This record gives sequence, C-alpha cells and structure tokens, in this order.
Amino acid sequence: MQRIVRGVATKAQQQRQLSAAANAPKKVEVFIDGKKILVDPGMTILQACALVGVDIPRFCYHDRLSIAGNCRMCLVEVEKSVKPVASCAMPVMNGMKVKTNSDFVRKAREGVMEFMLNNHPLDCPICDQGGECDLQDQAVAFGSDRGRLQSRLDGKRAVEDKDIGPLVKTVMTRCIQCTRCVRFANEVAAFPDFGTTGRGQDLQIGTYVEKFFASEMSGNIIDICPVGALTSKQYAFVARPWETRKTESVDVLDATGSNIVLTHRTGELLRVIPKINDDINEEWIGDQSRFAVDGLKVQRLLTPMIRGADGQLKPASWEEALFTVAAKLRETSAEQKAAVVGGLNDVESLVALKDLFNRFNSENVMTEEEFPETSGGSDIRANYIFNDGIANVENADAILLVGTNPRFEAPTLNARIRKSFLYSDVQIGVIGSESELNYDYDYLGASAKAIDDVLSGKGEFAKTFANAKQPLIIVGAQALKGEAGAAILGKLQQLADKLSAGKNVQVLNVLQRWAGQTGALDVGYKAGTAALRKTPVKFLYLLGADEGKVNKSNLDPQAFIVYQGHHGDAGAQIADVIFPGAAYTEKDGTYVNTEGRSQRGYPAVSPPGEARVDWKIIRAVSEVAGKSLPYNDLKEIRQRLNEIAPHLARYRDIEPSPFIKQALQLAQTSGSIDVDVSPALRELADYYQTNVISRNSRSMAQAKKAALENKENPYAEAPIHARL
Amino acid sequence: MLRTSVSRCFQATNTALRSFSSGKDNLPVTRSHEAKKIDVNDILETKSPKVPVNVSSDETMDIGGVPSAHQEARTARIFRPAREATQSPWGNTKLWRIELDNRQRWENPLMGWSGTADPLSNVSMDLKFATKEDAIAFCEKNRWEFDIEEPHERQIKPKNYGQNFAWNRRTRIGTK
Amino acid sequence: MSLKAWLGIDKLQKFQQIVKEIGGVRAVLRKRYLMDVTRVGTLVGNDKYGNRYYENNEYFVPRNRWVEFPDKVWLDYDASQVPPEWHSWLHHITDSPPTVQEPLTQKFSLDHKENTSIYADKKYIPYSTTRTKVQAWTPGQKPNFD
Repeated sequence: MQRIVRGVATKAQQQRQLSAAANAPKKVEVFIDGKKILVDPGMTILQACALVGVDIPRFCYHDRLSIAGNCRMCLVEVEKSVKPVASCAMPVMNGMKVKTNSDFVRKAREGVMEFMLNNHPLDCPICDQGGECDLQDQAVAFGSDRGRLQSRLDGKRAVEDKDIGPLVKTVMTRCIQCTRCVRFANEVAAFPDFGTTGRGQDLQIGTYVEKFFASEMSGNIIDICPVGALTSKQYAFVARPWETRKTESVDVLDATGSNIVLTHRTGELLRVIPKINDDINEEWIGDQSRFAVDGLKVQRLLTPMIRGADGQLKPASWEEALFTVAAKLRETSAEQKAAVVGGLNDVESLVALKDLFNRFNSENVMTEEEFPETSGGSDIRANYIFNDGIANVENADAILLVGTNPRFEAPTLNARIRKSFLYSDVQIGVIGSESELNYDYDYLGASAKAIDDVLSGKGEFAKTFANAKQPLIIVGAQALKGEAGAAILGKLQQLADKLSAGKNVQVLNVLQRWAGQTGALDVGYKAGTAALRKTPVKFLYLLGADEGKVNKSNLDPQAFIVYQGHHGDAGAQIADVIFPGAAYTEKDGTYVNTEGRSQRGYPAVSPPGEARVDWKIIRAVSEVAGKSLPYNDLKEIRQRLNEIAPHLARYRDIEPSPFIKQALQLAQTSGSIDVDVSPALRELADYYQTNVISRNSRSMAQAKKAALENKENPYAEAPIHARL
Repeated sequence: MLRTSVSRCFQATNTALRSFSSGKDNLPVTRSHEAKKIDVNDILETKSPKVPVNVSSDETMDIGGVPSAHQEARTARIFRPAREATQSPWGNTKLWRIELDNRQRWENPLMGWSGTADPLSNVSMDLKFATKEDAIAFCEKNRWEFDIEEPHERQIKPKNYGQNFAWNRRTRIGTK
Repeated sequence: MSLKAWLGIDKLQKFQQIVKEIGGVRAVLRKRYLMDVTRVGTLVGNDKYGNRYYENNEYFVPRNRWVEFPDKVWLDYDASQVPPEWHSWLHHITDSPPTVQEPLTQKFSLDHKENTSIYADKKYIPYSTTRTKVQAWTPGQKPNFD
C-alpha cells in the first residue's frame, strides 16, 4: 500500500564520501552557543552554525556564490575579539567560542538593520517581494522597533531603474547593495557586464550602459535578490505568496528534469520557481523553464475537433471523436499504422500508446528525435543516457563536448560545467560550433573528424584528455543522427572505453534535448521517423509531435491523422481528429531525465476546457476500439510501468547501466564521421523558443526579440523590449 | 509643583479614607511598596502528563462527513517542503507535510470564482507533523495511500573567503 | 340629509351616469373585467403606446389619476409599460402632466421599454465579458504577440 521513494546516494556521492573520509583533515572543535561541534577546518562560522541548526541572518551570503561579506548582518560575537566578526567570511579556528544571540550581537544586528532601512523606500505594499522578502522578515526578527532617521530633514536616496530586458523588472531604489546579483552574473551566468558603479551611498548596480542581460540564466537573479529590486516582469503585481499554493514538480522544457515549484492560486498557474536539488539543478533553472509557462494559457486545445467533409476542423464531442478514431483504428491493418511522439510526454501516456498499438499488432511507434540503431541502439541503456550523472560533472578533470551546446540545451548542466571550471582546473574541449560559452575551451573543429584526433592523441587537448583522472565526454543527441551518427557513437564508445579503464567513470554521456526522449527509449520506442517513409502509412497517431518531422507528403494520400496534445501547433494543423490533452503542469506524470533518473511531476491545475489527462484518452480509445487496456487508474498504470521497467517506479535515483562492453562490441566504428556536428542552438536568440510551449509564450517572444536586437547593437538607446 | 501637591493631597485622602473603614471588613490593604514578586511557577498548577488518546481508524473516517468519492482512493504525498528559492531561511523546511492529489477546479459561472468538489483540498495548508511516522499514522488513520519522499538534506560545502584572492585559481574575483 | 341621500338613491343615479358615460352595460362589464374598477374621469392625455391617462378629483388623492392600457395588451398590462414622463404625473411626483409641461429629455435617452424579465425569450441573463483564463486555439491561428 505504501511506496517508499528513496533518494539513495548516487555512485558519485558515495565515491565522494569515501574519498572525503579517506583524506579528511583533522576536525577542529568549535563552541557555538555552548554547543560543541567538530567541523572541517575550511568552513566558515556561518556554515558551522548551520550544521548545528542555528541560522544566522544574512543578506549577501549565498550557498552557491562566493563570499562577499559586505552586508554585515551575519555579525556574531567571538570570544576574545573586541569587534563583532562577519561569520560568513571568518574561517573557524580551533577552540573558537561563538555566541550568536548575546546582547552584543543583537545590538549589532539592530544597527545593521537600521542602516539598511535608512535608505530603503517604503515600497512594501507595491513591492512584489512582500511576503517573501528577507529584509521584511529579518527586520521583524532582528531589527529594532524604531529608527532614528529624520526623513523630513535628511531624505532618502533614490536610484534610477535599469532596463535589463523583458524578463526581469528592476526597481533599483530598493536595492540594498548586497551584490548577490553581481556575483551570480559574474560567476554562474558568466555575464560580466553586470556590476557595481560608484562607492558608498552612490553605489549603483547595473550594466552602466543600458544593456540586455544576455544570459539564459537571467531569471535566477530574481530568486537571489533578497529584496524587491529584481523581480519577475511576468509575475509583477500578480499575487502575494501567502495566498498561493505550491506544488513541487518537474520541468519538461529541457531534458535535465530540473525540479521546480509551481505556484498556483484558485486553479491558475502563476509562476514557476526552482526547487533545490543538489543532484540536478542545484538552485537554478533556465529562463525557458521559468517564463514559458504563460504559453500554457494561449493557443490551447480545449475541445476535441474533427475535420469535416469541407476540410475544416470543427469542435466535436468526445464520443464522436473517440468513435471516429476507434473505427479508423480497427479498419487499418497493422503495417499501415504508426505513432509518432514528441518530446514533452510523460511515460504513462507513452506506455499506454505503445500498449494500444501492440494490441493491434503494430510495433510502429517512434519518437521524433533520432538515435542510431548500432551499438545495440536503444536496447542498451548506457547508449543514450548521461551515464555519469549531472552531479559528477563537478569532479571532472577534462570535458569534451561533441555536437552539443549545453548552454542552451541544458542551462543547469552548463551551470555545473561552469562551476567546475571555476573551482577546479578542468580543461574543456569543444567539437561543434565555436559559440560563446561560459568558460574557456579549446575549439577542436566543427567536423566530427576531430574525434579521431582525440582518439589517436594528436593535439594538446587530446593529451590532457588522455591523462585526465576523470574525463567526461558529453555528446548531444542531435549529433547522433543518421549514418554518420552511428559512426560517431561507435568512435566515442571506443574512446570512452580506452579512457575509462581503471577509473570509476563511464566517460561517455549523451545529453538528450527532450524530456520525453529517455523515457520513450526506455519503454521501447524506436528512435527517428525513418520507418514512416518506408511503407505508406494510413493511420498516424501523433502524441505531442510538433516539431514538423512528419508532414502529409510522407504518408499515404488518404492517411488519417490523429493528434493528441495540448497546443495547436504544427501537429494539430495537419490532423483529422484532435484530442485535447494535458500539459506537464496539469497531470501526474513520470518523467525520465537525461541521466535516466525517473521523477514524478504533480499537477497544479486541472486540464482546461474539455481536455483530459493523456493516458486516459488513450485508454478510452482502446475501450471504444474493443481492446481495452488493463489499467483504470493511476496506481494500475504505474504498476504496468513497473512491469516494463522497474526503474520507472523507483523515483529520484540514478541506476548505473551495464552492458557497456557489449555495446562496444556492437558498435559500428567504420564509416566516415566527417560531418559537421554544429549544434542547432548557437546563440541566445535561438534558446528562447524551442518547443511548443515556449513558441506560444509572449515572454519568450519578447526575450527572443531583445536577444536579436542585442546581437545587432548591444548599446541601443531605444527601449530594448516590447511593451510589458 | 501643583502636580506634586495634588498627588500628595490625593495620597493623604486615600490614607485618610482608609482609616474611616471599620474593622469589620478585614480586607487586606496592600501598599505598593509592600508588594512581593511571586514566581509564576508557584501560582500555576502542576502540569499533568499528557496521555495520548487512541482513536481507531474506522471511527475517524466515518464521522468525518467527507463524501466517499473524495475520501477513498486518495494518494497522499508525505514530504518535507523545499526551501523557498526566493528566500534564504530554512525554518519552514523542518516539519513534515501531507499533500493530497489535486482534484479538479473549475470556474464558477456566476462570479468566476474557483470551485471544487473536493472538501480535502486544503488539508495540506496547516497540517504539519513533527516526524514522518506521525504523518504516516495520520494517512493510515484516514485510509489514504501514501508515498514518502526522503527529504533532501541541506548540503554544506566548506567555502572560504580566501579563494576570492587566490593568485592561481579561477575563483579569483577581479571586480566587485 | 336629503331623502335621496338617506335612501341611497343618489348613488344609483351616479352609477347610471357612469354607465351612460362609459357607453353601455357591455362596455362597463368589459372595463370591469380589464381594470377591476368602474370609474370615469377627464382624459388628460395619450402617449405613443396607446395608454390613456385619466384624472377625476372626486376620488381621494392617491386614486384620482389612473392609466387605461390599450386593448392590444388586454390582461397583460404592467406598470412598467407607462413611460417615464407620464409615470411622474401618474404617481403624483409632479403636478402637471407632460401635455401641460414638456418633460426634460436628453439626446441620449433610449426609448422606454417595459420590464421584459418575465418573458423567457427576452429576459437579460448576465454573462461574463472578461477574457477567459485559457484561450482556445482555432485552426490556422498563429500565436499573436503584440
């Protein structure tokens, strides 16, 4: 009856723990408020207190950014020190006695808070951060009840608002100059144009010359800012945090499966903010994941539609649509049926569709995205997942990126590569396009021929790569297309095999572009729509397939096309019958990310109009067509998932995939790999609208426009975004 | 000076009036300088230990009054909430919560307000549990199925201020 | 009191007079059926809907002014069929009828309409004029970002 979902330590974590234990430095003894703890000597007092459970107030300190120590709110009293000590910066020393709640500390905090509020505008009623504002909470908890500012006589300073794009709203008067955004921009997002100008009271934060915050992680400065200086333009003046409900779920707009929290109220989704998951996305999510949710309110399929005799799609009832489709399903023979799925689907609907087709003796179920069939194809799991785990990127010594631009394909993975670039001596090489990445890299060429060079040890990077203790190859799923893709995969597996000897990393990792792809391959879908073109297809079932890989010319002229999805895009245009499905925020779904980690998404709102949850529609079709599928509710279909692939029911774990040697044996290593593996997403403007939800999103359209204008002329005087 | 003289007058009258009281009342006359501070614990009664009351699961279920369509076959998710990304404190992440599956919400045609048929839609709002076992017991009492999510513990990786100035590492910060 | 008044004959005579003014027993019965009263008065005016307005100051003040609806409406008469300018005279809000003193009208005033909420086909049912929260896709429609 109960099901325990575990978060067992991944292999990488276990390995780190072991190594940490093996060469752990001698711990130092610290007394915090009388409690004694033993900590590693590299820690700061604030972190040591956090270990005990004492949360010291702070504004500028952030777990994932470098230490600044300029807000002074974290002051604590250390015995034998006359002055209070900034606990975020001071490292612990043996025998240190720290008091975090003495009168001295309280007075210090009240003083700091008073100074901070002296120049802060009285914007709480109109500020979006009200209710989730660090300054408000800390003023109540640690500030004094009165201030001494004579605002009639001295006044408060005011700062002009800076325009940094259509996504982030700035009210710089509210800024308390904690510089978290500056450190984030410089360290994590690699946008060094964001900084501080002036000193003291005249310190202003911005880009100095008005510029677009050209980074795919720009939305994270909204979360980071402790006050309402940087807020979301999409969410401005929409809601207060206490009237919203939060549902934790998973993001499907890219393949990393970042954990998100859906904020909703009275059945309306308001915004998406990240949820901390140290294994996948830390605390960040990309701009698309954050802002594209306004695309879920427009261009939705709300009723089933049937194309009438005049060729126009007209709304119909569920009965009519289901009976029409079921009749056609029964009429066509098994070889003439096919199903094509897109990349935003949950595994439940994929399983239901495959089961439906199998009951009609058809195996013609495929994904839009291609994957080679050599090396065991999608039968051997290690071929198509991110074998080492996203968290392990931090431990890498050398990274080779082949045919992928992780900056725009998986921004949170890229943030990890950037993190490892900053904190260690990792060397990065890129085979593909020479686009602007967050880190310095060796460009090895656009053609995949360069893999041969690395294999044979030619070139500087190849030597570093061969000698690295933890090398990593990240290949984009897009580079593995067609004949050449098979050969590239084979060559990379050879290289990985050579390098992983004696090390505990798999080395070869495939970065998928679509959230539903790994799940589809796990469940048994064929990759790529090539099979469609071999035999004429009379009945085509499109499940969210909107990337235009299938059009009418590939099919029989009298083909009957059914489209099941949530937006009216390319797929719905060519369909004969449309079933309205639910988007990822509206259904319980299981999603497998590119690491092979299965995660659960929960619904925040109900599917709008007459739309229904996807797998239930397919179950209804099966019932009407006469071959009912054996599951009626969520529990039963999850049992079916468990039958097919047990990892789908074991949430939040990565499981290592075996049979790598066998994959190598089946690999195709001959054949020319002299193809251009430049990824499709090369610059920021390409990033914003890559899937059906973000193509329909106004925020993303505005951001794309701003990015294009920025490319042309970064210093344009005119407003650089469309109206709010 | 007028004020002090008036107050003195007042005090004198009070004392004088008291002397007019007959001895029959025997009321205690407390003067402010005689008041003694008594400890709170002396006044309060001793606390009796709390005895947990065992309620059988059938009982709570049946007297609840929830329509069976919304009480049976519900799945609860037992978890510790994630830290709000917009704020730094970890205070709200300590207690366990239950979240039931979100049921349908629609727009009421009269006023456009949000309607739902689910009387248990607000169960997660204020219900917090100290331990996982308490939450499990609650779910079992209500005969809901449950999934437990192991909490993500906060990872504290040592950091140090000196790396901002390291001469040979990429963590060197050139600007503010 | 005169003998006639004592015997009540003057009431009968009055009734005879009323019957003569209305125009016969059939007309009196018809009027009784439609209006529930049998009374005569001076015709003060007509309006464009066919309502006739009468006044007879022999009756006490609230009941000295009345309206007779046209035969077209028969028994479906309704107080809301009286237009505003006559309504004010009829309900003693003002002294002079619209025939004596022109009522103030505005350029933008609509024609008077009776209360249609009792007719199922003509009644007003409130509907939402706001945008729906989720907008549907119509075939061929591209997303509109302006």
